[in-house]
Amino acid sequence: MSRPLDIGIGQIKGLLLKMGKISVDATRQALDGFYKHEDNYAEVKMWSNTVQMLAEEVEDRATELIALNQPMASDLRILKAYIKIAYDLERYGRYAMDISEIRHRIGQWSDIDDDRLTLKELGEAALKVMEMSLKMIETMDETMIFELSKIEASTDDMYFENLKNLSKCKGDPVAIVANLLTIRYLERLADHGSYIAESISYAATGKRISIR
Amino acid sequence: MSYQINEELLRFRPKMAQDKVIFNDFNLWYGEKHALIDINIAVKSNIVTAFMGPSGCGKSSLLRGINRMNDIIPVARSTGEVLIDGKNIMGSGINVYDLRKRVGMVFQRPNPFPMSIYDNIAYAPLLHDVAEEEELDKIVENSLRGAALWDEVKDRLDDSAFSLSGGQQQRLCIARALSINPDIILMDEPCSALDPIATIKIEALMRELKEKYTVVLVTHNLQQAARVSEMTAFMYIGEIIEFGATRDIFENPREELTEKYITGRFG
Repeated sequence: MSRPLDIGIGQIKGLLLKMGKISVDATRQALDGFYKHEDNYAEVKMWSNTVQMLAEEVEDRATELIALNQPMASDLRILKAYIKIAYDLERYGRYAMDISEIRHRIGQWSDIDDDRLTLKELGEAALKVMEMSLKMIETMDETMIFELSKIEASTDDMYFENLKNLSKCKGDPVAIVANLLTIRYLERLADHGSYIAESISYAATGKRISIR
Repeated sequence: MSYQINEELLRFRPKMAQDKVIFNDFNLWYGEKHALIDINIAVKSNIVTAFMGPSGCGKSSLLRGINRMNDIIPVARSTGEVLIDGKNIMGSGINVYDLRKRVGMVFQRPNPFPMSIYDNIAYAPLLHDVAEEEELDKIVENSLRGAALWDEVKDRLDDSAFSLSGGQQQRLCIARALSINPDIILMDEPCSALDPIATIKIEALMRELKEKYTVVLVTHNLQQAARVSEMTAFMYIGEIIEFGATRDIFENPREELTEKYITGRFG
């Protein structure tokens, strides 16, 4: 027999996965627009706002479950983790919006022809971290944190490498600014993926692991 | 400005508190029923320690081991030691009346004596011969103050104790326990018959009492244990399954059985 708390926790998990799916799709769409110089800000912003609304819904439902059921042990850890994860997923959506906003705000630019820049690879790695973090929410498999942290570390490396190379770049200043902002947002997206992994690890084991 | 944040600050770890009550290989039988099995725990001084577990797990029996209340059950027998301040209270030569002066007890239902508020408090000091009559007024006042009841009853001390509300009656019983100046206060589900407001007052009182006394609480209410205690023991069928810092027990219990019990996945 399911406890009412199980039903509530399951519903929140469903909301988180929905937020995550929208955020990943929005990030992919924002990057696609960036690469193709297309302004898709309005649509990505709409998805970001949807994720934000869902985050508020998660917070409300989790608070209500805590107040009404006074959960303990793994139940309490899961709800604490879910509240934190809702914020991280909200940030996913916001960074997707920020990426799409670059093209919308600063207009067109000429692509930089420099083989040292690896923005697309960084984008794929950040998306990989995001997808893995969603898999962790779905499966509660805390062991994935180690693989995720390796990929997240690679995004840090790529970010600093791109930062260095962009600082020496002689291309279109608008393009340099657009690329700088985007690599920063991608690095932050991956950071939030690692925070989600830490939250799942805590919820599953009760032990706090930091991979930052 | 620098802040030093360490594990002691983040989590309650009563390492520095002294052991007040120690159970050493303590076993208790009621006739053939083995009610407490190989109990080995130390209750620290000046904190609230909670015993929790399902009905019949032995938590009240364990509590009554601290003031030898199990002695009054004819079929009860025990082995092992219960040390209070290092002295085995199960040993021969222990005067249980003296012991119970040091260990006050509050029961599930308020049980004031059928006498005035004043006499309820004065009765025990007179019985135990710990006070002269002229000292009684002070003892009554101090005990009622200690139980956070003085301001509510100071103008009607001659009224019957039964004229008080349930929550006030329970605090009167706590005041009665304090009147003989004990070291330890045992509370056996002290709020189970009280409404939420009275419960909050008793819980606030527990937090104050631990400054002067060692408080041991039996409760069915997990949230109450989480709110008021620093250490918690989870018991099941006569055994201590897990004993540790309350925050650890309720956030990240070591034992699967504890986890199942406190998350309601039991049975």
